[in-house]
Formats: sequence, structure tokens, C-alpha cells
Amino acid sequence: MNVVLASKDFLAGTLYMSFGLLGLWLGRDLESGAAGSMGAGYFPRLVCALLIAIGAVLAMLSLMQAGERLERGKWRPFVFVTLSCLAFALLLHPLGLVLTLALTTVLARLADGNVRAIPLLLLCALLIVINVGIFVVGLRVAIALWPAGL
Amino acid sequence: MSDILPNIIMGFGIALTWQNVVLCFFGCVIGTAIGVLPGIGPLTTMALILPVTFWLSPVGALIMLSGVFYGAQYGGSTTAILVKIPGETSSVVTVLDGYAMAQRGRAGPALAIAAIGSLFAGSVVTLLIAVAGPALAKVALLFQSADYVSVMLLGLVSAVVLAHGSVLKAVGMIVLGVALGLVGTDVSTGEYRMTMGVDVLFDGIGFVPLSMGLFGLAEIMVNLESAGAGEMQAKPVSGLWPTLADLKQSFPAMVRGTAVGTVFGILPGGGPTIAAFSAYSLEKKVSKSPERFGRGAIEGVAAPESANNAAAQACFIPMLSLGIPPNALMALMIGAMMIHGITPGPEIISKQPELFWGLIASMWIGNLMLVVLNLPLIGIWVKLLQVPYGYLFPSILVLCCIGTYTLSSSTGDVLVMTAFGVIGYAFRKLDCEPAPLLLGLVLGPMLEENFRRAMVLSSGDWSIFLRRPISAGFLLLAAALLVAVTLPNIRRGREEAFRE
Repeated sequence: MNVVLASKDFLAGTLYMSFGLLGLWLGRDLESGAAGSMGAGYFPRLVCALLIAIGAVLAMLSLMQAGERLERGKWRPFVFVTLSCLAFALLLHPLGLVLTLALTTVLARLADGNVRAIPLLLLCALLIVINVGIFVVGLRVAIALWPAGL
Repeated sequence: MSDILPNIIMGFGIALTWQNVVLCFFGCVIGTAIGVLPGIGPLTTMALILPVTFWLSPVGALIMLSGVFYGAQYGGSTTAILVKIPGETSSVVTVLDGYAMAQRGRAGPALAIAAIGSLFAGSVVTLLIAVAGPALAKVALLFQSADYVSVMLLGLVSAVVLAHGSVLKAVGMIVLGVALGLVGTDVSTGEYRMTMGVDVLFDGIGFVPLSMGLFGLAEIMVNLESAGAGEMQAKPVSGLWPTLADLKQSFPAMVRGTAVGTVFGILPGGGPTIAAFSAYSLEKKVSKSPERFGRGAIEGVAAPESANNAAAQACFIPMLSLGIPPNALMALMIGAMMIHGITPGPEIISKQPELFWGLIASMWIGNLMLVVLNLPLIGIWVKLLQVPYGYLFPSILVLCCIGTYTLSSSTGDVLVMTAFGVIGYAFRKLDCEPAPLLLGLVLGPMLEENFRRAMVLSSGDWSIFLRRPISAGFLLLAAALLVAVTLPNIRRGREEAFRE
């Protein structure tokens, strides 16, 4: 990657600017009003504009002086931690808590290399027992344990 | 003044009910455990157990959460001294002299002094909260909207000044937090703002999903990248008791550490970590023999350990008396209060005295419990270090998911959490400290509400912020801080303070 584009400050500045622009765009229909009688859009616009300005200054400064470069990350932890949470969110209602917990745990464990089957099964069982114990039995949260229709 | 004693007695009456004692104990045990374990901070843990506290009474919830917070300060020093691994960032400086003492076979006295220093600081500051809290709240009742806006701005500015690394990045994170805090229903007009039509966002971005993603998930991703820390062996601890000479040497250090810690705790943006660093460098400066530092000087353990506990408790003062969180951890406590329908502000002490005094009394009890938990049971905590991270992190991850879900029985919140996990990972990679964002998120809506009210009262005249003396004073302080941080020699000092 290009040296400038890989600098942490440049990327952070761009990120701030994107969030600010996103905010302005999402709030484009909100009314601003006047300072004495503010509409719903006045303060958000002020804050987003400030955010864009800060991002722009940060990015510009990074062009002038060489800053720290972004290090390469590892894809594995990032991908599997994300997948594991997505699995929980999307599968909980169709599958029920027990199967979802098992799948979430397996996916989470894959974020770290060197997985062995037996300890993994034990971990799944342990986490299911603990979490069902705390949340369903103890705190009486209404979550289906098994897939609907069973 | 005279009504403090009956109030404290009332507080103990509340804190000593068996439910609250048990909750305080749980909080302290969890706090010590995560304090010992590197890689899980109090912020993540408090976010994790926030959903569970939903089922408790408001006082019970606050008692348990604060136990976690100050318990972590005790636990963090244990591993710093025994295995040279600071369990928390606030114990980083304790490593220098604490581990040096352990290597000379004086681990026991080092641990004992750390615990005694923490207990001393904890007791002094608890008393200070009892005295200063209600007094400060009385002053705060005079505040009008414009003054609130200015004091919050001062808080945000000082959070920036005290944050690690680039000032500009920290400002950006705070502003981003404020912007995220505005998502959801506008209180004044009832309009939906920046929700993208997603119904989970109609009530705003949840405090729990955001902090779990930003701190819990992102931390796991980053920890897994830096290859696992292997097993650690600690030397057995023998001879716990410090000698009379040790006590004599460390007592002045404890007093100074407590004072430094209290100041940095109350300062917006301060907190245990910077307090510990400052106390250590102060100790080195006032010492007659600074060359002993780093080679096992007992003051080098006593001062930062007193300071971090003092700061951990002193930051409750602005939170309880003004309703304004001085740092991200207190922002989380405010979040917990709001879950229970308590509006933070100066009225809490007069309208809900049982909450304030019960919490204070529980801090005393908790500090005592922690000394017992930490000294005789030290062996158990060291064993905790042998739990491999490979089993720990899936448990944390599952708890993040289920905890977020149970808060409002919504899988949408789990998706929000996942999104913030991804964003949080990007922040870590770009060296953007996420804690100021949390502060912005909580302060954002308060800031807007007061800003709007102030502007309505002044019919759109911006000079209101300068015409009210209280407000002008805060703004002047904020401006002075901003100027100071750009001065070259102060900047250098700030960088030094953050270097290990």
C-alpha cells in the first residue's frame, strides 16, 4: 500500500470524516431551526461538522509528516469473533439457546488456532450449563431452549 | 456537617443488609479476579455484568459494580508484584519496584503494603466523598443550563488532555461519541434522528451493546493477535508481614499517593492509571535517595497503589454530586443508573439518600473485604493465571452475546454489538483510544438538552455562556487547559507521564 494511505493518522482522519458525512446524510431531512428555537437537526449538524473538521485536520497533518504505519492484522480472530456473534444474533430465534450457544462457542474457539475436539466439547457443555443456569433458571429470562416445533 | 454521622449510620444499615453484603462481596471477588487476569479490564467486566444488575435493586447494582471497579485496583497489583505482569494498566508502575522486591524475596511485604496502602486510600477517600459529595451537590443546585454546558465542555477538554496519545484523535473520538449519542428519538421534538429506519435504534444506540462491542469484542480480537501469553510461574510467597521500618518508610508515601490520586480522580478525564503514574514520579522526586527506585523501593509500591485506589473512588464524587461522569467507567455507572430509571444529578443525594449513603458505606465494607480476600487467599488468585486464554475468551464472548440479548430480549442489540466490535477493532488498529467515545456518548444527550435550553433562555444569544460567571469560569479553565497542552514543555511532560 501507498505510504501515506497506510498511515494510522490518515486512516483515522478519513474514518472520522466518513462518520461525520454519514451523520449529515442520515440527518438530511431534520429541521435546523434557529439558535433560539432549535430544531431536531441543529445540534447533530453542529457535531457532525465538527467531526468532519477534526478528521480533515488529522488527515492533512498526516500528509505533512510521516506517522506510524498500520500494521498487518491477522484475519482469523477478527473474522471468527465477528462470525460467532452474528451466528448468535441470527440463530437464537430459530434454533433456541442450547444449539446456538454450542455453535457460538465452536466458532469463537476457531478464532484461535490449535483446536482439539474433546476440550472443545467440554467447553461447549460447560458454557451451556453455566449460561442456561444463570439466565434461564436463575434470572428466568424467557428464551426458548430448543428449536420451535420440537 | 452534623448530619453526616446519622447519614453514615443509615448508609451502613443499608449496606449491611445481607443482600447488599453478598453483592458487595461478589463485586469484590469478580473485581479481584479480573484485576489479576491481564487482558480483561474493569470497563469490559462492568459492561458484561451490567445486564445482570438489571435484576437487582438500584443500590445493589451500584454496590456490586463499584466493587468490581475498586476490586480490580487491588487485584491488578498482585500479578504486577508476583509475576511482573500488571493485571490492569493502573498497576503498570507497581511492576517496577514491586517485582524488584519480589525478586529479593520480599514479595510478602510488597503485597501487604499494596493492600494496606489501598485500604488507607480507600478509607480516606470514602470519608471525603461523604463530606464533599453533599456540599458539592448544594453548589451544583445553583447551576443553570449554560453552566452545565460549560462544565461538561471542561470535562471533555480535560479528558482529551489526559488521554493517551494524539490530542486530535482523542477530540475526534469524543465528538464521535457525542454524535452517536444523538442517534434515536429526539427528546424535544419526538422525531427519529439518524436511525436509518432500523427499529433497534429508535431508542438510541444502547449503552450496553456499544460498550460490549467496543471493549469486550475488540479486546478479544486484539488479544488473540498478539500470540497467547504462556503459563506463568510465581514464586511462593512467604512472610507476609512488613517490618516496622517498612511501615514507617511507606506511610508518607501512602499519604502523598492518596492526595495525588484524589486530585486525579476528581479531575474530569483522570482516573486510576494516570494517578498511579503521577504518584510514582512525585515519590521519586521527593525521595532523598531516588536511585533506589526501580530496585525495590517500598515507597514505589505504596504510593502508586494508594493513588490508584484513591482515584478509583474519588471519581465517584463528580458522578454522584453533579451527575457528570469524569471518565468512561463512571459513564458506565451513569448508564447503570439510567437502566434503573434514576436520573443522575445533584438531586440524588437529597432525594435518594439511601442510594448515596448506602453506596459509600459499602465502599468501606468492600475495602475491608478486599484486604482479607487479597492477602490470605493470594495463592488462589495466582492460580487463576493458569487458566489459558483459549478457554477464557469464548466464555467472555458468549457472555457478551447473551448479556446483550437479555437486556431487552432483542437480537438486534446483538447485531449492534457486533457492528461496534468491528468498529472497535478498527479503532484499536488506528491507535484511537475508545474510552473517550463512551464519555461522549453519555454526555452527548445531556449536552444537547442543556445547550438547547440555555439558547432558548437567551433567545439565541451565544454570549450567555460568557455572561454567567460560573459558566465563564469553567470555559476559561477549559481554554487554559487547551493552551497549556499545546505548550512544548508541558507536552513533553505529558508524553513522559505516559511512558512506562
